[in-house]
Amino acid sequence: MAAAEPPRPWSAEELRSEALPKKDVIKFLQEHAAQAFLAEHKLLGQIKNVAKTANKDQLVAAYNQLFETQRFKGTEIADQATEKVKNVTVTEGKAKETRPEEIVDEGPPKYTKSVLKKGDKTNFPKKGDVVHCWYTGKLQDGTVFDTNIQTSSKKKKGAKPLSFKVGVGKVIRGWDEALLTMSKGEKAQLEIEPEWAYGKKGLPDGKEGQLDPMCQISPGSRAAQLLPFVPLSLQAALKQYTHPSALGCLLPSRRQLVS
Amino acid sequence: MSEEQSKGIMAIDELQAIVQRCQILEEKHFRAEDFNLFQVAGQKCLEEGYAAQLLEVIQNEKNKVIVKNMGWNLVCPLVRCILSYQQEDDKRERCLKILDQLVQLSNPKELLLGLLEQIEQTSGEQTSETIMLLLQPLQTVILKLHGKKSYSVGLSLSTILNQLSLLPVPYTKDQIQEDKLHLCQCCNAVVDFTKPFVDEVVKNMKTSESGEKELKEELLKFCLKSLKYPLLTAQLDQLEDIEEHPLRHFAGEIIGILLDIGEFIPAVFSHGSHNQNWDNSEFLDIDRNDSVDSLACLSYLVFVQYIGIDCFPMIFSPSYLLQCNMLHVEVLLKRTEESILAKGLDLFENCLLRLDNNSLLHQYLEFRNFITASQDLVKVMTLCPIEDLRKKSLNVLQLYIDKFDTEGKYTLFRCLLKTSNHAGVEGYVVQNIKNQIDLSLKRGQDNQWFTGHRLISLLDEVFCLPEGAETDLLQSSDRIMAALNLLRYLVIKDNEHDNQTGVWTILTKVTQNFLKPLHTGLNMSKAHYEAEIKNKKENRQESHTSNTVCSVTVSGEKMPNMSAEMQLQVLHSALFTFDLIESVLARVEELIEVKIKAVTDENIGVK
Repeated sequence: MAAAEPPRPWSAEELRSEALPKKDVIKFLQEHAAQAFLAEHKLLGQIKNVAKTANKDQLVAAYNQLFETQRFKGTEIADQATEKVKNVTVTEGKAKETRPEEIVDEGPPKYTKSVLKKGDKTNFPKKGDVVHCWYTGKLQDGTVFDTNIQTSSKKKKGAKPLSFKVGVGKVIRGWDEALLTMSKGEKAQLEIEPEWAYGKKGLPDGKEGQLDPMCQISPGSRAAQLLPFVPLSLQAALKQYTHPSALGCLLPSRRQLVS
Repeated sequence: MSEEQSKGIMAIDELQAIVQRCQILEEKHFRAEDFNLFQVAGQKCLEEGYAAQLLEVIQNEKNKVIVKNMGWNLVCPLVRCILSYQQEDDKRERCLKILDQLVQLSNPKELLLGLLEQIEQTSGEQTSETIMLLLQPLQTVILKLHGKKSYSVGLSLSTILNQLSLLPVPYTKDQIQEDKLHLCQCCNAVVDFTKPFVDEVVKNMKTSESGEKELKEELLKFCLKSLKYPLLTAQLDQLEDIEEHPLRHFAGEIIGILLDIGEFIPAVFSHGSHNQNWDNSEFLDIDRNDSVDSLACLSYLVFVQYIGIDCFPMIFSPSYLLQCNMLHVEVLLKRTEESILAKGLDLFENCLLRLDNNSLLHQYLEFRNFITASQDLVKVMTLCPIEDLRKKSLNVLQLYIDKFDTEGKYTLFRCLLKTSNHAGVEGYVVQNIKNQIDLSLKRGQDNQWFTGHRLISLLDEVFCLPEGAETDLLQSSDRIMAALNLLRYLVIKDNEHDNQTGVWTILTKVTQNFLKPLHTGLNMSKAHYEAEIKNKKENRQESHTSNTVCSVTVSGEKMPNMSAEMQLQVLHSALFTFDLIESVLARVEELIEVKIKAVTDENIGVK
């Protein structure tokens, strides 16, 4: 079972030097370390996202620890198999819990919200209002898969909050429902079950998806966790409602529809 | 001294003469004929191979004013010479140096026009070469211009793309690798050309200067134009053994520019119509009708090829993404080119794959393009000459059906039966209806659409012969067979007591409107074809000379006349089809009879 130890590409000095970009270290670790090891060190996911969240010291520590503990790729097949079974049972359990209620009502919300910072408690958005949010999307293992918060100098997405009409099905269900319970300035962490996130299939996106083994192991259990999450300002956008093509007009209330 | 040499020396003398005369003049005293003489003499020098001497004249400090005013006149002969020399030729090097000097010394405004004129005049195999040669000078000249920079950038890019768009886009792997006309190479060079301008926009966006809106708009126009050509028709799947697919690379660069100038997300979400409200949108004022193809291609790149998906927010719901992309799918599926149709099908498929089965709400069918999309798929699967696309289209249709909730499926089936006008498709839909009924009966819940009165009204569409007994049975055989199979299934699965599906309620009507005329039709058709066969056989013995009544042409090619053998074969196979229909029909009638008899027997027994 023991996998061959890869040669150490960098010395201690080289690691610490500015000349070595974080991305190279992350790439090396992702190529050589076991999945579980990467998950523990929060190193899974697209390199650019990992680079945003991890600092150099953490990476150096992970690098050293990898060679100490010898947890290279290929040492973990057995672990993975058992973990898979666990995942399956967990999701099945959830499904059974909710099934009977679905017939009469759709049951409790399929997300949990924990408030990190209270809002003003007066400005709550209504369905169809435009909200502006800062957000970070993470998988259960902590992998950041999407964010609009700038940590590095990268300006690709532009430092703008994401704006959209809330409550009309534009974003994943968990967001749509949870946002209606939040007030201006509130910051919250949402843990959303797959049904109210990207479905049991998970996301088909990302060429990295094929390379990233986490995405393949159990897309079914990919509950998206969104944090932190701040509606900056809410402004009624009712005047934009004059055109009946927006889905919002067709769907007066999701709850009504399902029942 | 040879004649040629003397001609060359004459040319130099002429040049010297005109230069000397103008040296003492002021700019404003240059006459039109001076320009002319300068150009003719310069051109002669180049043609006779005296580029070194010409270079000397141009570099001479005393001639600065002359070169500034007249230099651009030399661009045309210069480009012609450069293209005629081999890559490594010294003469070429010298000419390039002259071009370089001209760029440094000439009046940028006039030089810009001179350069663009060259690009405009190029054609065929020289297109890419000329453009690549002139990109660098063009860039330098524009950077030297103070006013009207946006306009110049826009003019240059549109001139370049207009020329390139006359070239065929390489499609197969070999063609892409060979890149015979250097199109791929040239596209990527054009991207490099835009770099300083993109940087400028980015810089100004940071300091929030609003003056750069025009430059941004020109760059946006360029991106949209590139998406339409060459990317829309290009084959963009990753290729084996090619490390970097040049057009994929180009696509990535274009999306990179859109990202940099902050137009990426607005572009993905702009819908060609103004009432769609992407709320972040400051999408620049471009003609949306003109860019529907480009935006469809952009969506394809993002969602199917995953180019730039990293920069796309993930929080949108799958159904919303489908809704957004439906318009693009519609645009793509309306086309007939293989590469574009394939893109449409891929994009449609990708959006559907994001959804769980049965999760798409039927209300979406109220959007016009959710209905037309299904009709477009039918069109592709029945009319497209390329088999792979026909098959793929059918798969996508099935996927589409699967994603809708029960009511959505019901509506879609009804719509397809009414509009497809193709027996094969109708048969396929009937098969799907059967599967849904089966599921409803098994599940015992959620069955209000595929049982009872709603089902009955759907079945009315299924069990009918549009033209009664005169219906062309051969042409509609797929549909008729599927309908008979469905009827057989219903009669077996659902007994008269339960009548869950309502089939027993409509049985008299079905017999009257469907089974009976079908019987008559079968008898007539069989008699007709049998007579025809008999005829053919007799004719064959009488005369071997074929006297054709009509000829068939398929896409301009005349089809060979059928031999008598083949004609007989066709007639026989038609008879075979009728037999098949008849046997299923007989089986269905038998089943109905047995069931009814059982019930009446029972009733008698009870009494």
